[in-house]
Amino acid sequence: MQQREVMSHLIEQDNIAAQDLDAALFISQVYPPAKAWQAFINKLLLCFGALAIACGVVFFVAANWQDMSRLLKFVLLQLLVVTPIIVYLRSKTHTLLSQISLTSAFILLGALMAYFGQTYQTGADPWQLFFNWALLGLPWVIISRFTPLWMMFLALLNLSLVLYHDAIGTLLPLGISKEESLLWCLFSLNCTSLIVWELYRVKYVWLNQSWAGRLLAIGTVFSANALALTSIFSYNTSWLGAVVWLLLMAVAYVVYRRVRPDLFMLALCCLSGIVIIVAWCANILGVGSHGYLLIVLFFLTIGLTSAAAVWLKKLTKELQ
Amino acid sequence: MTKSQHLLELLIQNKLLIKPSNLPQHSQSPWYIKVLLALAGWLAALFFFGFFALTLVDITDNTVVRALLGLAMLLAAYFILRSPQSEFLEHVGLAVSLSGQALIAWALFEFLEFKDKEIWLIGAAVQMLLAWFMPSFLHRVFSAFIAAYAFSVFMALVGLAALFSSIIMFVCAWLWLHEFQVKQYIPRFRAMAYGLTLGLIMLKSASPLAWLWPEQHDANNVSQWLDEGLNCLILLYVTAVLLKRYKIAFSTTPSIAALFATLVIGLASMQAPGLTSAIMLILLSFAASHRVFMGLGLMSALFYMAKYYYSLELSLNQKAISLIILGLILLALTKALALWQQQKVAQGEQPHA
Repeated sequence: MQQREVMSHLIEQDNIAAQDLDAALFISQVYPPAKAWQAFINKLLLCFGALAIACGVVFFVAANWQDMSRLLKFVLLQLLVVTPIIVYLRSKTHTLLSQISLTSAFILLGALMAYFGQTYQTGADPWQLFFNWALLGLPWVIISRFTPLWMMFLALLNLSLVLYHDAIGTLLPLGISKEESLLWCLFSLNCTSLIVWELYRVKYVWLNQSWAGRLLAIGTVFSANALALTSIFSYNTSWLGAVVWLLLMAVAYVVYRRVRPDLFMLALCCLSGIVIIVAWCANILGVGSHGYLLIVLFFLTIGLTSAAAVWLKKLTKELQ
Repeated sequence: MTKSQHLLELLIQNKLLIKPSNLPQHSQSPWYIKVLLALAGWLAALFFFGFFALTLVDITDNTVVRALLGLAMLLAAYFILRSPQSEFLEHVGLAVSLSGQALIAWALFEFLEFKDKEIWLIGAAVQMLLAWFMPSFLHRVFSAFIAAYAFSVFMALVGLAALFSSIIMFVCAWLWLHEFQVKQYIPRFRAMAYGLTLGLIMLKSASPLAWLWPEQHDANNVSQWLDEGLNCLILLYVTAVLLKRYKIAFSTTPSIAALFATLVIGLASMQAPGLTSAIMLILLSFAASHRVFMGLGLMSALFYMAKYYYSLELSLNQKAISLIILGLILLALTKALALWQQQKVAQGEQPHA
């Protein structure tokens, strides 16, 4: 139980006098100590400062400012990529400053590559820009040991896949449609990343940040859900999507219920399950042509959600 | 000994507990379970509303019947939600209430136009009443969120577009800053604060109100500066309250420096709408050790930064320069803070926040 929750309960029950409220909240550290503020403000200013400058440079490249010569622009952009690397080399490794420096260099590398493509009219599709950006920045991503930078790297790969399918077409053989191919690619990328994250997060402490795993899980479940929905509603696609979704749910149950209990992951699977079961029933019942059957879906949704809520709350108690 | 039991011991040792107390029997559900319930409740409400709209079309065809049916559903939802806690009933209550509200709104929009001020003011007032009286956390969050939206549309329609975000932002700030002072109303106020916070994040992106702007384009341009200026003042208010909480007198150097830095950051981020409110949310979340709220603040800051790219009021060059200036100011402040802390440590003093 979180300190906030305990304090809320005590205050609600009138167990703490009004004049002692602040003192109690400071003792419980719901109100953080002054020292924690210093560290927090330092981090916040550094992260936002670096982010604002990096975004400013990206905006500058996008503006394609005519008053400045191409050579000057290249010099400026390359200097801007090198500057954070110098800061990185001068700072202690694996500190926030070094990690933010590498993140800034990674973002600025994208700006430089975009300007390169803009100037020399390389004719490259946007997916190549994002893919090459991710590829060239990979060494920095590896040495940074910084989860947000890894997430940025994976976001670029996801974006490259979307843009590739948009511009070129299907990436997979066997006559798979463009839409289905995209979903399979996104699922494979995010699911592999999630598995790698789960395998190494204990070994590498810096990787062990729950929000990263949650983002990867959302990406995985979202694409698996879309595949299963395609299997349910489209007659032209294979049933493989639904099978993979079922397998994913089974593996997720074993891993996050038995091996490494995680309520967030289970709640996500519950939501996914509710959507798929309701969609499957809607398809079987033919709700599209019989409006009155919506009341069946209403009770089904409520029933499934209530069951999920009861189960998850029971697990919450069990895991405390 | 668990962390919670340790906390109880600490409070007893410091004589801060009026009477012996036990830890709560049932802990609250984590935020993601609440999100799951909210999404499923919303989906169920869609099915329920669809059922009424498609099947009982003869009955719901009459506007008065539709309004009365909506009211009856709201009343039924109140009694369902008030009954002893049951997951199934809570969801039925939420879905019935949302469908009832949709039926009432459908009836009202037949009498009044979308751009009638009255309907939005009434909507905001009714939603705030629902947020207060409906005995369900999710319902309160939802109602406060809709109230914020309806109120904003009303303010835009009466030509006060510059004020709505500041009013909602101020109420948000006040609710989070006084979260623990409202005693037995903590769950009620907290749910409303969540709803208003979500409303503020959505409204500052301006897209949900885009349908209002074509007729009021000039007013919108003029009001953006006033809006962001007022947001900046609220950021200063939050800083001042936090300084007071830490008993740092306003006349001291740390206090003046903190207020000055807040003012500079507020002014520097005025061109990117929403950034000031995101900074406020981040500060408030840290001030109350609220991790979910912190995530919301950070996500909204990134969103507003991306949104700024597409803003049409300024050229990309102007936007680039303003962001670089903001970044340099923030980095300069980081350096200044580090130097000040080093100086304090060298002097053997305990630095303040």
